[in-house]
Amino acid sequence: MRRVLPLKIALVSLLIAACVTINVYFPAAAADQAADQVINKITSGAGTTPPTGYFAPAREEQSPNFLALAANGALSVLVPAAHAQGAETLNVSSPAITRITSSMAARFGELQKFFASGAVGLTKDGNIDVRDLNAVALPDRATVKRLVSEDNADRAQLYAEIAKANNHPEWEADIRKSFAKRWVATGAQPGWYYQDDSGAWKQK
Amino acid sequence: MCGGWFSPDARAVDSIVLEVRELTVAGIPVQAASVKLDVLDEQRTRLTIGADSATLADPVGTLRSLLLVCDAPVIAEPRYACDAGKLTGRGGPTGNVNMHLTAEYDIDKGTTRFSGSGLRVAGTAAKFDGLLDARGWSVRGSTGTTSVAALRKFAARWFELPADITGDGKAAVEGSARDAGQGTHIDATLKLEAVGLTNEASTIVTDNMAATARIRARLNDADTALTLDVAGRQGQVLVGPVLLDFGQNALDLTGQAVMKGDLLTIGSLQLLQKNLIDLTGSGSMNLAGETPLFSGDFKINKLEFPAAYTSYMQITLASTLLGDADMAGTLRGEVSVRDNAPVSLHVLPESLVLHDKKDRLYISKMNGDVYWTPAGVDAPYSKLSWAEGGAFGLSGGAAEIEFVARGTNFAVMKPTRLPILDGALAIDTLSMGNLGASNMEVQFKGAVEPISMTRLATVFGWPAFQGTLSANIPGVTLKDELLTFQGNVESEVFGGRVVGSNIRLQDPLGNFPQFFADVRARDLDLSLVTQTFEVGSITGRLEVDVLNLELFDWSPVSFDARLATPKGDKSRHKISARAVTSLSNVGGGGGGVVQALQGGVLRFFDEYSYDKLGITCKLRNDVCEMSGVEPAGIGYYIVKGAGIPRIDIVGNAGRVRWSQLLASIATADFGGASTQ
Repeated sequence: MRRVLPLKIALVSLLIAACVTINVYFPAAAADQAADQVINKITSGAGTTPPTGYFAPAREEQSPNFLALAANGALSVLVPAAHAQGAETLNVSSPAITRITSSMAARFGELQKFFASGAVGLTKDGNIDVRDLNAVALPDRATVKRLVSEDNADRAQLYAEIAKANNHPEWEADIRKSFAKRWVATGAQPGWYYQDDSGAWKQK
Repeated sequence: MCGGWFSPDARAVDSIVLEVRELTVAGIPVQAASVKLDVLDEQRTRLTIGADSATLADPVGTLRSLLLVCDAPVIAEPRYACDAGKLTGRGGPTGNVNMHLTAEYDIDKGTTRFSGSGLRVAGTAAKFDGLLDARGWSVRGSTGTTSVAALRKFAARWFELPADITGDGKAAVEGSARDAGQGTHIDATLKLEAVGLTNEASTIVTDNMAATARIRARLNDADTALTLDVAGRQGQVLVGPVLLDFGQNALDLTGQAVMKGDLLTIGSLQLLQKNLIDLTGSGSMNLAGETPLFSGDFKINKLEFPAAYTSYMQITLASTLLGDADMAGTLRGEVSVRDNAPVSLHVLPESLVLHDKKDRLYISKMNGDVYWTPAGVDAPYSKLSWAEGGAFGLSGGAAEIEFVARGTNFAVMKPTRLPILDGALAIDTLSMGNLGASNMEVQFKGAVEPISMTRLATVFGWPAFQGTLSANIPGVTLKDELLTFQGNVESEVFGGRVVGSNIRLQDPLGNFPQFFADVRARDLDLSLVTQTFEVGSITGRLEVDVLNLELFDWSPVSFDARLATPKGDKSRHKISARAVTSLSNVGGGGGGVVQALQGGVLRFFDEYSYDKLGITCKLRNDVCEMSGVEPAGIGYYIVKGAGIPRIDIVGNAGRVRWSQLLASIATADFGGASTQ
């Protein structure tokens, strides 16, 4: 019996150590940084460019080895709230993102004057909307409606594709929030309108 | 009762006063009237007429404390006149009366003529003149040019624009009224210039509008007859999604109607807009309920494009595929409305041209006879034909389609063939439901008749190669903007057969359509493949699997691809020196391969035998994870050689950027595979 006990203890310890907890959290800072990068490409009219070089970097280890798992498991037992954290950058250079960004950059030139006049503003949910139709000449009404509709369609697809490119489709809503915030902080020029958290329009 | 008062002065009479408690003048009740004649000197007299109140017909109403002072009265029977009087009082539409007035009464003729000027109305001075006689009365008047805001304030007691409409402009009113015992006739004209108005939502807007509206009315106890003439010559007007440009398309609207009780019967209506529309019709509006109910029948004699597109359609279609299009041609037809709901539409397009500016859709010279009825009502068959059409770069020739359009549903009624390049889309059945709604449904059964790959390759910018594309499509469904194809698309190319299955198209009409499919190719002749892509000569057979293929905006973003020599392939397996170089490049090889092939004994051989070849690529996030037919040390065989001299191509590149790989294939510029 005594000879079996150490073995049981060792087995239990091993099982405890093998319990791996990986809590993936949304990297808000990295998302903000990625948003700034994309917004800068759009507002500068450049669109995003894919990384160059024939060889892609080696893939990060996807499945940690047993010892790493065991170590991480032990850490999780000791600190249950510990998070596994990936690299602090988001991929915003997939072909889909590149195409969407280029499309938005091309449209931005047309939208800019409507932002400046206050006709169009940035919404709190990362979209744009017609804020003041009175600021739009009648012949431009259809154009504004089309531009807003097309840009919002691109924005929705952009947020989804960034989440998808980073293998976390569930991040789409968070990425949208990041973009909503960063569009106001870095994308909007002084005088442009944006919605605050209550949905009220404010002028930057 | 009346009474008089004469001065007892011993001198000549210097004033005469006549007072009347109640009297009626030309049908106008007057209370506590007085007439006083002062003899100022031998040459001059003054007539003063006063009344506590006089009640005139609307829109004037009751006037109080009326006082007419006439400094040069004319008393020369049969003529009694005041050639220069001043009338003051309170009340009426303007609140106060203070104006110059002349009047003349002719006893022999029984006529009273009058004219006034300087009457302040809506910030301007109005003038008028009139006549009273035994038959009745008439009056005419006009204002000077005033502001729309002032006129709006003045008219508020009779007619009020919605409070959220703001703006201004210039306005002037002139009109006349008469009553000769057969009802009152009114003729009023409103002239507007440079009018800019908008409601709060900015859905009703006028911009620099110039227009004239004339209304003529005949009122009697039985009914009211109305005639309306509106002319718009300048500026623009937006009403909801309709944008009218009077400068480009001058407007003339005329109508005749009779109002009896709560029913307005519109006997005739004609709407003309230059280069835009010619519409006639009639109808009625029941005003009894809370919501007026309109019924009518209209004939569209001519609707002209492109003005019809920019005026009536573009704002509504702004968020759709047709949001920015060029259109030409004309259209005519009829439309009927019952109780505010359209109940039938019959449209005949004539040489209609539609061209989406992003080249996603075009139709040329479309003619037809189209009927629409509400859901549940039988609709006649409709027919449309066109000389040319195309979508997303796939053009086709003349076609004709017969269908039924009812409610939000549409169904093709007989098999139809839509030419595509040198093939066609053969439609057996096609029906769509909930058109325009998010839950739009599509059901389709048909086939793609063989289209030559050469033509398709030209459209999509692919290298030219032989073969055909065809498909049998037993069904297509649309749900949540996902178009799902049942059945397979088949293509005969490179001497083999390519089959596309599990085909889905997300957001087909969106900015970035996403295409999903599994593609399998069997028994391809490698010599034909390599001739097409100019990578050097390879003989043998090839099988290809491109599974989980995803195209974003028609560019591949994800797939699991495998190109390999089929198992048990007995065909002749030869690979040229140039092809060795090309395949080495794909595997990450470089210029060293060329030197190797040009050195030693290898320089005596133009081609080499191989056992098998193949390459795999798992594309994700622009990175292609590459492998070959089997492992070779730390690399993988792209070509496993056979015979003497034996050449193996071993790939070393594990992860390659897809975009760079494509660019490198195009420019033959690679980073370093090796030959052994």
